[in-house]
Amino acid sequence: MGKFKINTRQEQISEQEIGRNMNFDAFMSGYTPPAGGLLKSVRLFAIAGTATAALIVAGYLLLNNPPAAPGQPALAPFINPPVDHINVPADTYVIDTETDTTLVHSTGSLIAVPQNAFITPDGKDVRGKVQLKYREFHDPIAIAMAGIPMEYDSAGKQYLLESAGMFEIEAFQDGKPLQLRPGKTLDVQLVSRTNENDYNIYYLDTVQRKWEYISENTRENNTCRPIFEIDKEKEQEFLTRYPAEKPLSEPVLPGKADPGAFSFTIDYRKEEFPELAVYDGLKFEIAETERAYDQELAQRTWDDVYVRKHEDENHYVVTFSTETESRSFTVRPVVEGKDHATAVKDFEERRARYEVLLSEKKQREQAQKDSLYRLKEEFASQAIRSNLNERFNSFISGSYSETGKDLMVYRTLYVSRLGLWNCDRPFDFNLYVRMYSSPGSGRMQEQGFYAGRFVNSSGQMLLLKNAILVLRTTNTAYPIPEKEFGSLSFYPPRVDLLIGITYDNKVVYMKDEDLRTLNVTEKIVTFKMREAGPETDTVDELRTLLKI
Amino acid sequence: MLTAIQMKESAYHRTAEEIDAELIQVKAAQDDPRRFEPLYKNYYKRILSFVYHRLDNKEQAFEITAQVFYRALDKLHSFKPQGLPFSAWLFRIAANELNQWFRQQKARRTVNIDENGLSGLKESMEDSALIDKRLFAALEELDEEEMELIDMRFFEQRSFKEISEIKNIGESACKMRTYRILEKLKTTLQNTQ
Repeated sequence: MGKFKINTRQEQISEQEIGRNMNFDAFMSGYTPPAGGLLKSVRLFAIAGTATAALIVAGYLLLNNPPAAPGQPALAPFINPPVDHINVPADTYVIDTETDTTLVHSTGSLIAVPQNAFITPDGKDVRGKVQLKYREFHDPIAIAMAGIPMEYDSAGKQYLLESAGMFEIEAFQDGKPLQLRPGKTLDVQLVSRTNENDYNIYYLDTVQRKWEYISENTRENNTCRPIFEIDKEKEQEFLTRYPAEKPLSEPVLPGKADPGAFSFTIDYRKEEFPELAVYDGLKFEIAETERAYDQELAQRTWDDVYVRKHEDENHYVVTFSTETESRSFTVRPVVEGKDHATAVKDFEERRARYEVLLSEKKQREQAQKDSLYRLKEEFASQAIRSNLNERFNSFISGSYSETGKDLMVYRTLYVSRLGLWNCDRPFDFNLYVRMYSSPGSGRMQEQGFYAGRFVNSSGQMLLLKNAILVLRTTNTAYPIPEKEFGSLSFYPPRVDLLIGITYDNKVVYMKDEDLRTLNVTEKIVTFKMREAGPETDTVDELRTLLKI
Repeated sequence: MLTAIQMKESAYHRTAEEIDAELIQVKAAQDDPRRFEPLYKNYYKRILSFVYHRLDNKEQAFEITAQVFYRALDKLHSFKPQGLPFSAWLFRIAANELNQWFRQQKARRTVNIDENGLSGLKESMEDSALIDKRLFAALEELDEEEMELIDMRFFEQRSFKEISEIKNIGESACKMRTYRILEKLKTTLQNTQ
């Protein structure tokens, strides 16, 4: 027997066989990391490589991946702004803890603080003046630059949170942080640019490093209401001046009496049934479908009779009752055959008059509705002028251009802990933005991956520590850490904006019109980023530059 | 006289940019094994092909291929690029896993030969009239290391550059060894005429 087995007819392996065996999830489910774990101190690029680009990459990876300290690696703060000098500033309010206080924030949000609401971290009462630091986040630029994590895990599935508005509130005395006294809550009426009714309230637990679901935020539980509600007194005054009209009586055409069917007359209240009162000799005939009627019942003496309209609008229900018994029957109004032709002619005339009256009534009601709307508009503009400042006007104006002011609502949050609160709903980010290698095939799709290279407008390589996907329509942002640049899987045309942060804290970006033109079928995709420039050093300026 | 060894280069050429991008993928997988997926998907077929080429059983090929990737994940933290593509490192692991398997199973290595590879080898030996049977017998006389070089070069049609990276030897040394093995094969064939 030779040393080798020479085989000239090897059987081929089919694509199906390969597909069955190369499933990555199945592969990983069978993987047990070696003792000590994989996350050892990494010296990936310690030895000189060949390509210059590789050396550059090596340099910054080494610089930014110092050997791990013994024990657990230090975690970055959970709220981690990518650039220190471009962040959402907080407003500081000084309040007296001895009295209840309601603050009107520059955006129009209201913060109600009850007296004696604060204690020190070791549980001591806090008296005197307290500084409240408060800031809000209403757009993805603010969310991104504040470094707020938006990932949310629900039953093991990863989502991003789609925000309808978010705020952070903290309290200090003499520079030392305070806590809320157990049982005390701050009632925050947060201005929101969307009136959709399926958001929830979440609290960011920075210790557990996750968003904690608190409750629904809906009109039904009175935590979501229009921001421009009309003054109740003015509304009542208006309604008194223009009382609601009585409903018009829609004519009814009586049927032609069936000589073989049971029928009877009733002395009903004609003002209750004006549509019937107009016909002479009207009877009620037991409906064909009625099985409960027994002729014997007609021989009995009843104490009372009650008539109401049937749900089908064509029939009525008659109820006969005594002290001890009650019987109901479905009936239809009829007239005898000789009178029916007259009844039909009469009905047609009444029907025509009804249509005219109904049309006139609708016009009057629409005019009243418009007047009420104008009153609300006037109230809203007065509210803006009288109560709120220029920044609120600007905030409202911005919102109008996007959504229309009817969409603005107040969202009520009962704040039981200081920190970051959010009106959000989970959004299946992966389904929306991930790239798949065989879209539309109808089969289980494999996720597509590519490596990202980031260059400036001159084609020079940019060393980014962060790239942030901004989704305008869902008002959220997703930061991609540098370590994932080698296996990106988002589909650029689905992203409204890509913001990059360089290691020297410069902001670079790529807008949707550029993202749409990227060819993502290559293994390496080059992102040509524009530079924000040194003059852009506030969130407001960045928002203006990026038109978000 | 042997003819010059002229085979078209395999689709192996990697640009610096591609190697650069792959290093970033490796780094991602070092930080989080779940991010090994793009590398796994990129190389699965090639490793499977490498493994199956040395076996005659599909199921064993799939098993050993999985074992190669498990081993790669285990050792990923120690991967040092040294300017070489990740694939070379993976092929070395695959070769080691196969050798270990052959030893454990006391099995013989299979040399799967197709027509293209065979004709390439015969052309390289000048006398293409030699019958396959004698050539197969001559191949049997090679040692493991020699067979591996011939297999990679002719039956897997790899470039010398790639072979040198997988075997961790210089490219010219790789060419020279292959040349000598071909000489040896020819001598064996002439002696068996």
